[in-house]
Amino acid sequence: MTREGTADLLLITAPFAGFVINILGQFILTRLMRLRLLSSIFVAFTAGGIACFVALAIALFIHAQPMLDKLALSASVLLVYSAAGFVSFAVINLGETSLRIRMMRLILENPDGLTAAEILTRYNDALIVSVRLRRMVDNRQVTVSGDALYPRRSVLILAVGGIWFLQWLTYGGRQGRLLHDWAKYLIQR
Amino acid sequence: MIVFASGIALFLMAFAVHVLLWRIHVPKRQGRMLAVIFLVVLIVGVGLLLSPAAASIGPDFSLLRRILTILLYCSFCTVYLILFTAIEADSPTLTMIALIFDRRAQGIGREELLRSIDFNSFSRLRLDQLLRDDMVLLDGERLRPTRKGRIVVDIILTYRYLLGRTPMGG
Repeated sequence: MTREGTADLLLITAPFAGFVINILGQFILTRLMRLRLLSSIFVAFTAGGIACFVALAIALFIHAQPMLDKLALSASVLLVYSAAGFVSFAVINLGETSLRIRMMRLILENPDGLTAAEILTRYNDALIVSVRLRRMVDNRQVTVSGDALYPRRSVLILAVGGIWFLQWLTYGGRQGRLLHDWAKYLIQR
Repeated sequence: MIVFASGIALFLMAFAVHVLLWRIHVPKRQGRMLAVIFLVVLIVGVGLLLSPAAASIGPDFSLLRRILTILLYCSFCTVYLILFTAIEADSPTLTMIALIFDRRAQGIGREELLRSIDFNSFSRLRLDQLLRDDMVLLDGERLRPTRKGRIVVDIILTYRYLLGRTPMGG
């Protein structure tokens, strides 16, 4: 195989190698080393990222090419790796927070099935909202003063802005006003 | 450069089709329709990338690099499909943040926040989505899981079980 062929093969295998190390790392860190879930996700993702980066660096070293091409190829490979990492994170997170998965679990636990009313009674909105609100306060994603809640600059607020932008782009409507307020808030502070 | 540019161009093409269609008419099964759009663009993209015209671009766009382009496109699509579950239906967190934003400087009391939320909307909506996405079926008045629903839940819960995580939050 030519040097170019070997380099291209490394470019393709780099994100896969990183992903395998990421997943194996999660199992090793949580099951054998008893690390907390969030820490294990972060450490395993970093370890996989390093493996991916090493393979990428070798590929770029053995096949000389212009700097712009190197940067674009690096971005492509790292984006593929990050996307795979995001999928694994989403799978873990869906089991933690997804209402639909929780409802499905309820239905699966009852072989005779459940009526809609039974499901809504056992998993009601008031409970969901109070759990989420407590989580937002505990994670300092909103500011609490006395009994009042205020927005706070956090990763959550940034992520929510991104979701509002995509909602506005896709559906239009009231998200435009929310997005405007969100941008004004970020600029003012 | 061509790998990165082609991957992004393919995704932007699919995204533009998605936004255009949704602005005209929001499909009933949004997730499925979005997946169909991504799949059609993928087929078109694979066709273009494997054509002799793409091969003639030059040695810098080898077959393996064209495969990397497809991988890049698929990565964008997968991430967007996951994000879309948050875009298509307001979550409790998004609703609360919107209410807190509405009263920025004055702040909003916990009780008032809870009063302002339209209870029975999140769960009802999710239940309808489960039915629409064929995750459950209606047998008389009772909801039963479908094979598809079992598989999806099994994948998620097995992965969590392997990681030693069993309790679930709200």
